[in-house]
Amino acid sequence: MSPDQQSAANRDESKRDEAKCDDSELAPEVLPYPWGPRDYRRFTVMLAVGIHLYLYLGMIVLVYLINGAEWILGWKPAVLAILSALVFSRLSFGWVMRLDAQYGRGSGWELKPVTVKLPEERDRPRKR
Amino acid sequence: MFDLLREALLPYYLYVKAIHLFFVAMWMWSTAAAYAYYLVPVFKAWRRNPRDPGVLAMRNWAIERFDQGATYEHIAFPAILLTGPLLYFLAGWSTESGWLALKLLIVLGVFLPIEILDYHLSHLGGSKRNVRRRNDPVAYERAIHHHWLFLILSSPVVMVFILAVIALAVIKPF
Repeated sequence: MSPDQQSAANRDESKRDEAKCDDSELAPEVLPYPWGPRDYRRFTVMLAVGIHLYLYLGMIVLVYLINGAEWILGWKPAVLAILSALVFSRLSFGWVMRLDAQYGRGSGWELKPVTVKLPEERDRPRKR
Repeated sequence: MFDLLREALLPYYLYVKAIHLFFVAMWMWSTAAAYAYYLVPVFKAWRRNPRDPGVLAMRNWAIERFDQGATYEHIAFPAILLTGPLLYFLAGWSTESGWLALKLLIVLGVFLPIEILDYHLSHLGGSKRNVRRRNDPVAYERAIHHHWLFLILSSPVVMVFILAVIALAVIKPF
């Protein structure tokens, strides 16, 4: 068998195994995963606004109220905080979506069925 | 009393700083490779194949290993919280320095709550090994969901603000 034929056969076998894995009769009871894209969007926007508001107000307390420096009250820190919050919320939403496999089909990966032995620590009896 | 303590410890300022930096590096990067190249691929496979028994077994093993792998990070963090204020005290820093004020706000208001949650999820009540011992598969699955949510939602915050803290400490821009 040529390498190409071997590779095609492996792919077919992998597809058959993936199809087998989709069989819900084989699968254990699974809790539905609680969050989706809409939750992620809401959370990342709230997180970006919350963190930036906390940092901006915190800087006003520490720099202006405690130390009397007025530069923190100027327009530059406020504009910087707003821009940073906008960029952060956009980037973190994309970041979270990629991590949670919501973007893409995962076609760069294949699931190879292999038999493995996973090392697990033994429970040690506690000393009294 | 405080002045006496400061005078006694001031010659050791650079030693304290070296220890602080050692623990900061350990805290920042000790879980990075395990997270990016082991945990995330396994969890992505699970999110695409949530009922595959082989993927579930691998996911469970990986997250329990990762719980234990966070030990270095969680030894380093209290050491940072001890040595950081000591440096502040010894050098006579104050929040007049804008960079330091912002850094303190990030460490205490952003990193500290994240780390408290992480201690709970990795070593205390949320530890998957501890939950598994209770023989409650639903609680175990829920604990994994919570930990995954925590990891994906906190990772952009941690990465962005770690870089910000380093930049603030080194460049001292304002």
